[in-house]
Amino acid sequence: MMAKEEDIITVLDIISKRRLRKVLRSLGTTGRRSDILTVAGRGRYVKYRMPEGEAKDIAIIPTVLAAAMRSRGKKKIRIKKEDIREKIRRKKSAGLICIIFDASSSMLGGWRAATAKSIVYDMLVDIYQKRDKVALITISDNRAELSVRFTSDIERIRHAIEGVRYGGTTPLAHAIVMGGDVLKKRAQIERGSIPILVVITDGEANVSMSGGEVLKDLKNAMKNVVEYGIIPVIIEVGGQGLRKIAEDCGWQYMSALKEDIGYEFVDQSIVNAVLDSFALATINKECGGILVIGAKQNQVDLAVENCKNVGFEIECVKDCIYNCDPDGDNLCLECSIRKNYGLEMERRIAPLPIIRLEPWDEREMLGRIYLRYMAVRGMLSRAHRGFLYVPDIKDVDDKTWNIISSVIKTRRITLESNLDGENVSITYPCDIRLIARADNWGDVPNEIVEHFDFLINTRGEYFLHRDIRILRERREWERDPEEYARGIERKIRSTLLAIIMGREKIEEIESASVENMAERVLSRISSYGFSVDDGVRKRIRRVCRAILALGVDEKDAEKIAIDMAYRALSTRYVHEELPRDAVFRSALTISLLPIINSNIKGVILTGLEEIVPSILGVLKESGYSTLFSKGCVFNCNPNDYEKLCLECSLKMEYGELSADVRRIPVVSVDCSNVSREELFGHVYLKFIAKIGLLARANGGVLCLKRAEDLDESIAIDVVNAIESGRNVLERGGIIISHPIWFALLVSTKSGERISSAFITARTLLYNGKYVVRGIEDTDAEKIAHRIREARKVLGAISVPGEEIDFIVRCCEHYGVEDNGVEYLVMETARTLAALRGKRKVDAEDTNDALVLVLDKFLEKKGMYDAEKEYAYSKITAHEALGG
Amino acid sequence: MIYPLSAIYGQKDAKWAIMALLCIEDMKSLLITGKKGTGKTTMCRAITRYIGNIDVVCGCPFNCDPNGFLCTECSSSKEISVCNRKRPFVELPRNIGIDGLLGHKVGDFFHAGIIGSANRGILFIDRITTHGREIVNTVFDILALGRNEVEEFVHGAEFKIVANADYEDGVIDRHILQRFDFVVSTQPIRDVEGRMEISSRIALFSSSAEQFEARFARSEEKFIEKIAEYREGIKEIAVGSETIDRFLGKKIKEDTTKLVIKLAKLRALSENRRVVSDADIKFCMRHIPRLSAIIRK
Repeated sequence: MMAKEEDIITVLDIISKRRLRKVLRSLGTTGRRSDILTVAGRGRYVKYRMPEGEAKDIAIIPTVLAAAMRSRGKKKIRIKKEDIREKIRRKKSAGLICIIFDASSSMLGGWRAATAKSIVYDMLVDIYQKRDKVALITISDNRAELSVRFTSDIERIRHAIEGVRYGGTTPLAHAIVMGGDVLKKRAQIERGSIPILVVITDGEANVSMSGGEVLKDLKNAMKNVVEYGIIPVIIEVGGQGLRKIAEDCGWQYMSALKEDIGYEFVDQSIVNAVLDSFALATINKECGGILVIGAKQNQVDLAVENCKNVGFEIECVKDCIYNCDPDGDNLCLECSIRKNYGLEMERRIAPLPIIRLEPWDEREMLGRIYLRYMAVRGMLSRAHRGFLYVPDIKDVDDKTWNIISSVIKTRRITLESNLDGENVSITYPCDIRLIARADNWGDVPNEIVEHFDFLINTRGEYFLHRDIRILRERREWERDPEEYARGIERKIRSTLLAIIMGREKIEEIESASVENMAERVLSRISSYGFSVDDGVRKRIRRVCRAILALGVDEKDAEKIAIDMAYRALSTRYVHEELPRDAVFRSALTISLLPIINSNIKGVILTGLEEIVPSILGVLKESGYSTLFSKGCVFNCNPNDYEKLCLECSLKMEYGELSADVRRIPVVSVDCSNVSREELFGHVYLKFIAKIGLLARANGGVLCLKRAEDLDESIAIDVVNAIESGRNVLERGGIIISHPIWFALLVSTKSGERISSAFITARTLLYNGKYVVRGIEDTDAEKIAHRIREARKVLGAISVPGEEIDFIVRCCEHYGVEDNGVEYLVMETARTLAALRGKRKVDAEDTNDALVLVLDKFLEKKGMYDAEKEYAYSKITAHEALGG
Repeated sequence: MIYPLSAIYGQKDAKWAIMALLCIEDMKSLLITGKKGTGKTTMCRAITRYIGNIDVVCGCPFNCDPNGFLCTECSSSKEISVCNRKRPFVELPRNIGIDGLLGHKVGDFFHAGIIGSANRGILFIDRITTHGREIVNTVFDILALGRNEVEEFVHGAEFKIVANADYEDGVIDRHILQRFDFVVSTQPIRDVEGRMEISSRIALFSSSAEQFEARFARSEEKFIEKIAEYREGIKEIAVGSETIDRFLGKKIKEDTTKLVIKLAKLRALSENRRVVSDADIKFCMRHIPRLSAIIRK
C-alpha cells in the first residue's frame, strides 16, 4: 500500500522553504518520519471506533463496555453486533529516499559540487534521525549508476559521494527512470513506507535515453515517476533551467542559487597553494605534509577536493590489498616474499588515496587481526602512499596523534593480538603524509609539526590583504563565471601534468644543484631576518628538489622556492610581531615610493617610531642625489620652470641659472616642540627670508616625528603647501614665495589619532602589520641605485585595463567617495612595480597598493574592531549580485 | 599643463556655473562646495585656460585698464604704453596679513598686495574655510567697492572670486556664504563606469599629456566656442515681465534681480530655448545663497 500524500508529514514541505540547509538541520525531533493511522494493520493500538462494514480487528474492552452500557440493569451482558468496536492502530512509517547525485563535468569546479554535497550531507543527518532508508544513484562517466542500494547506513552514502569522480555527460532522464524503478520495487516490499526521489543536479541534462529530444525524454521520465505515487523533488544547483518542466510534471522544485545559500567566495590562492604543495609533495616522495592554518574548513575541503580531482594514479602490485609499490622497498609480507624470490610482479593502477580522517577508535584506524595471517585494514592503511586529510587538528585527540605520528615515522603498521593464547603480529606498510588544517598555531601539537614541509598560513595575514584577494576572486567570477570554472579546471589539469613530468624527472636531479639552490634560498631567507635551523634546512632541500623536478629554469625555481619558504616562515609569526628586519625593509620600501614618484605626497608610519630613525639614516647615507639650482637657499629644481623662487626665476630670465648635483636633504622634525615659524620660515628683513624646515627639506625628505602632537591648523597648512607646491611667507606686506616639493614621512605612535589632513591628503599608510616586498638589500649605496633605476623606468610602466577595473571596484566596495583615490592607487602600484623591476603592474603590486591606500580610509571610518574586520572579509554572493 | 574643464567627468552644474562666471560680467563670485576628491580644485584651476588676454598699462603691477580707471601712479604719469597680457589668476595665500592683502607703502613706493595683482583677473581662494574670516571679509568688501585705497593710493579692484570649500574642514561661515553670488556643489561619482572613466582620464593626463590634449582637443574647442557664443547670444533671450514679477518682488535688490535674470537667460540659452522659463529662475535663485531663503518660502 502506498501512502497517500496527505497522510504524511514529509520533509518536503520543510525543504521547500528557501533556506534549504538551515531548515533541514532545524528538524530537531527524532523518530520515524510519519504516523499512519490504520485499521486492521500493524502498529500500536491507540483508539477504537464503530466499524464500517465487517470488523476484523475487534477492540474487546470497548466492545464489552458498550454492551454493558446497553444492557444496564440486566443480569447478563449480551454482545450484539452493534456493540462491536474495532481498533485503530498507529503505525510509524519510514521514508524510502533515493538520491540522484549529478557528478557530471558541469558540476565540477568551484561551488556547485560543494553545494550539492553539503545538501546531501545535511539530508543524511535528517535521514539518520528519521531512520529512513536511502539509496544513491550517481551520474558520472556518461552514465547513471546505482552506487548504493537501500540502506540505513548513511556512512556508505557519504563514502560513495566522497569517492565519486566528476566527469562526463548528464543522462538525467535515465537516472530518473532508474530511480523510479528502484523505489517502486522497494516500496512493494516495505509497505506503508513513503517513497521519495531527490534529484540534485545543475540542470544541464544533455543526453536522452532513446536518442530523441533530451527535454521530451526528461519530461516523460518525470511524469512517470509522479504516476507511480512517488514524491519527487528536484534541487537545482546554480540555475533555474528546469523549473518550468519540473512544475509542469508536478514535481517539487527547489533551486540553490548562490544568493540562497550565502556562498562565500573561496580565497583561491589558498586552494591553489594547497594544490601546488600537493603537487610538489607528490613529486618528491620524501617531502612531508601540508599544514594550513587559519583558513576556513570549506576552503581546505575544496582544496582537497581539487587535489582528488587531479586524478593522479599510482602503480601498485596487482592483487596486493595494501597497494604496495612494485618499485619501492616498503612492502607487505607477501610482496616482499615475491620480490625476494624474484617473481614477477604484475602491475595495476590505482588512484592516489586521499582519505579524510574520521574520529574513530584505534582499531578502526589501524585495523585488526582476525585470523592468523589475515587482518582487516584500517583507515590509515587505506591512505598508504597517499595523504591523510585532517579537517581540523583540534578534533583529534593526543592518543590518535601518537598513533599517526608513530606510523609516519616507522612507515609501517604493526598489529599485535592474542589469538587462542598465542601472540600474533602482522606488519604491513603504511607510508602516509598529512594534509591538515588548524585554526591557530596553538592547536598544532609540537610532536607533529616536524611532519609538515609545506606551511600555508592565513592567520598572520593582514585582513585587508585577504579581503582584497577575495574581492579579486569575485571580480574574476563576475567577469566570466564559465571562464572562471575553466580556469580552475585548467589549473587542476596542469597540476596533473606537472606531477607526471616531475615524477619522471626527479631521479635525474643532481644533489649538487639541489644543494646549491637550497643554499641560495637559505641565505635569502636569513637575510629577511628569519632564523634558520637544521629542520628548516632539510625541509628546504626537499622542497627544492621537488621544485627542480618541475622543469622550470633555475632562476624561476629559485623564485618559487623563496616564495614558498618566505610564505611559510613569514606567516609563522602568528599574532606575534613580524621580525623587526622585515618590517624595516617594508617601511623603507614604502618610504621610497614618494621619492620615486612625486604624485605620491607622503607616507604615514604608525607605531614604528623605533624604526623611523634608521630609515632616515639609510636615506641620508644613501647619498641619492639630484639636480638643484646652484646657490639657491630654497633648493629649487631647475627643471621645473613654473615653480622657481623669485631669485631663480630672475636668474633664468637672464640665463644665469645653473644646476648643481647635490645630495637630497633629509630633515627630521620633532612635532612636539616645533613652532609655526620654524616649520614654514618667516620674512626676516625686507625681502630676506629666514628659511624654515619646509624649505630646507625641499627636494628631499621631511620627517614629522610624533605628528600626533602637531597642531591641527599647522597640519592643514603643511598639507596644503605640499598639495599646492608652494610655500608663501608674508610679513608686513612683504610676500616671499618659494616652491616646495618633498617626500613627507609622518610618524605617529600606534593608536594615536592622526590629523585628518594627513589622511585625506595623497598619502599612504603603513602600520607594520604586514610585509611589502621591494627592497631586499638595505645597503645604502644600492638603495640610491634602486631609486635611480626606478625613476628611469617609471614612465614606461603601464597599468593594464583589468587592474584599473579592479582598483575602481575595490574603491567602490569600500565606499571610498574620493574620486582621486583610484589614481593614487594606480600611481602607487606603478611605483611598486618600478621598484620591483617589473615592466607592467601585476596583481601583487595592485593588492599592496590597495592596502596601503585604503587602510587609512578604513582607519578613519573606525573599521578596526574585530567584528567589522570579519564583516569585511565575508562577501556573500548576495552582495555580489547587488543585494 | 592644466587639466581642461571639458575633460572633467560629470559635475554638470559646477561646469555650468564656471561657464556662467566666464560669460556674465555681473557675476562676481562663485563658490564650489563638495567632498574631497570631487574635482573642485581642478575645476577652479582650469579657469586659467579660458580667461583670455587683456590690454594693460605696461609695467603697472595693478593691470590698469588704459581706457578705464587708472591707479594713482598711472594717472600721474604722462605717457602710457599699452601691453597685452594674460588676465591674472591669483591664489590667495594662507595666513596672509592685511598688509599683504591690500598692499602697503614703503616710502613713496607702493607695494602691490594680492588684491592689486588680482585686479581685472580672478582671485582663487582654495579651501575657504581654512582662511581667516577677516581676510575673506575684507576681500568681499573690496570686491563690492571696486576700489582699493591705502594711504591715499588708489587702484582699481575689479576681480572675480572663485572659491572652494571642503566640508571636512568645517562649516563655512554663514555671513561669508551670503556674500557669494553663486554656490554650486559637486557630487562624488559613485558608479563603477564613471570611476573607471575618471581614473583612465587622470592616468592618461599624467602619463602622456600630448595624447590627452589630442583626445580632448575637440571638446575643448567646442567649449571655448560655446563661451563666445553665449556671451553674444545672451542678449537675444527674452524674459516675460510677469515671470520677473512673480519671483523677484520688491524685496530683492535691483542688481541681484539683474544677476538672476542674466543667469536665467544663460540657462535658457544653454538648453536651447529662446524664452526664460520659471524653472530657470527657480534654479538660479536656489543657487544664490541670499535668495535661497526666499525660494524656500
